[in-house]
Amino acid sequence: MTWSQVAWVVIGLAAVLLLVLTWLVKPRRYALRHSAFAQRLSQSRTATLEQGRRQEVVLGHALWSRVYPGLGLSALASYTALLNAETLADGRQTVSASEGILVTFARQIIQGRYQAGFSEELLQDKVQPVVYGPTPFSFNGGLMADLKMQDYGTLVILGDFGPEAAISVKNIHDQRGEAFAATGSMASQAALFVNVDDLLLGEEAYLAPALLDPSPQAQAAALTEDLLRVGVILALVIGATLKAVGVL
Amino acid sequence: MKKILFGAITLMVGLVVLAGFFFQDPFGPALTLIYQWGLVLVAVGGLIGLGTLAAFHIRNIIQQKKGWISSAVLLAAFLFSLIAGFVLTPQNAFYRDLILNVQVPVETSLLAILAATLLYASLQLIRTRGWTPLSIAFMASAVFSMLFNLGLIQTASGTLGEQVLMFFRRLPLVGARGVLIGMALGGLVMGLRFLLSTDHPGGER
Repeated sequence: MTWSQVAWVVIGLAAVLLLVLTWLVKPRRYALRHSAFAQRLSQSRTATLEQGRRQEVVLGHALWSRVYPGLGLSALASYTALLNAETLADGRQTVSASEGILVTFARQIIQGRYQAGFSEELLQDKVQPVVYGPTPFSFNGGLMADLKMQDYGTLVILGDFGPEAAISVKNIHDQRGEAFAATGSMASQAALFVNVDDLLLGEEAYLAPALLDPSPQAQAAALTEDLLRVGVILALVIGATLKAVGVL
Repeated sequence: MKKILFGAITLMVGLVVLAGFFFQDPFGPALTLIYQWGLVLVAVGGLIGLGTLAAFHIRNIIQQKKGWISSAVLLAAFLFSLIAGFVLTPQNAFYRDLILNVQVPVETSLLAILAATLLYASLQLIRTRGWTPLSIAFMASAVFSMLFNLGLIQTASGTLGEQVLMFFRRLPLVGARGVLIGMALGGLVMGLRFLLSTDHPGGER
């Protein structure tokens, strides 16, 4: 089977599903799975805000990578949910990344939000996008220094990281702050598992936008991911069984 | 209007890239062009990022914030590297030695800090996470994986023992594959979200 034939099968299947789901299946609301992650993050951000401390959101080292595609986009989608009116008015939030394009998009998100409902002249502080350094380790050096020099209460780590993310978590814990992580790479997940209580593992990292902002579109994406997961599990089990009995 | 236009462009470019993957002959040239445009945009984004880095530290110096001396040192080093790079070019052996002999030791020292941090965090694992099935499984698999890969346990070739040992050595790879499959699914759905304009990188609602 050539790639062109595969494409026609996918297009045909998509057309059938589109027709069936549009005309035959009635739309309904799906309950999103319960997650303590979003609840605890919200509590921590509220406490940080009330104590007059700062929040740090880190968007990772890459918008796109071959091994973990989409992690940078997931971080940006999650960040959109973290910019609520209270945070914008308070202004004591720093969003950082080591890749310029991520910071450019973050800046666009922030400016869009301020233009949508704030008189910027009245604000003392504004949410700031920062590049601490252009490489993972130089970025981490800058982040470590900033976490020590300013009073941070919440650190949110989203996107594509290496194991060095664990160092910044140690710094925030030393400041009696809390860390939350939804990172994708296996090295960072293993490193963060040992010192971050609130961590989204594996494909759950991609569910962060839906957990933080449970809009109908986000819930639909989460449901699609779950259905695909069930499909892949079934395919793996059937494939392994067929291989074991000698059919494949 | 802006949102619709942005969504239409995203959808069009996304579909061309997707079609280019399957129908390589007709869409190949368009795919190359889109990749090149993407690279240019990412490079411009990188320059904006460097501008943000400089602006952050200049602001720190002007407002004399805590640690402004570090910002001044960083800016001086940044400007020195930049100007030296333009004058000598990155291919110059002296320039490479100058930069790498600072960068590599500094990054290695951060690696050493990371190793110490991870060791400390691992020792604190149960205290941080408690005796949960996940923490016990994590700790046990880490210990056994290290033990099996040390090469201390040897078995005769062709025996059942060797197969069992190989099974335990390969087990972490099986777990890694499981995580990677999950990540691929997540990436697929995330791509669809942006392709269908449910989300926008610039956050438009």
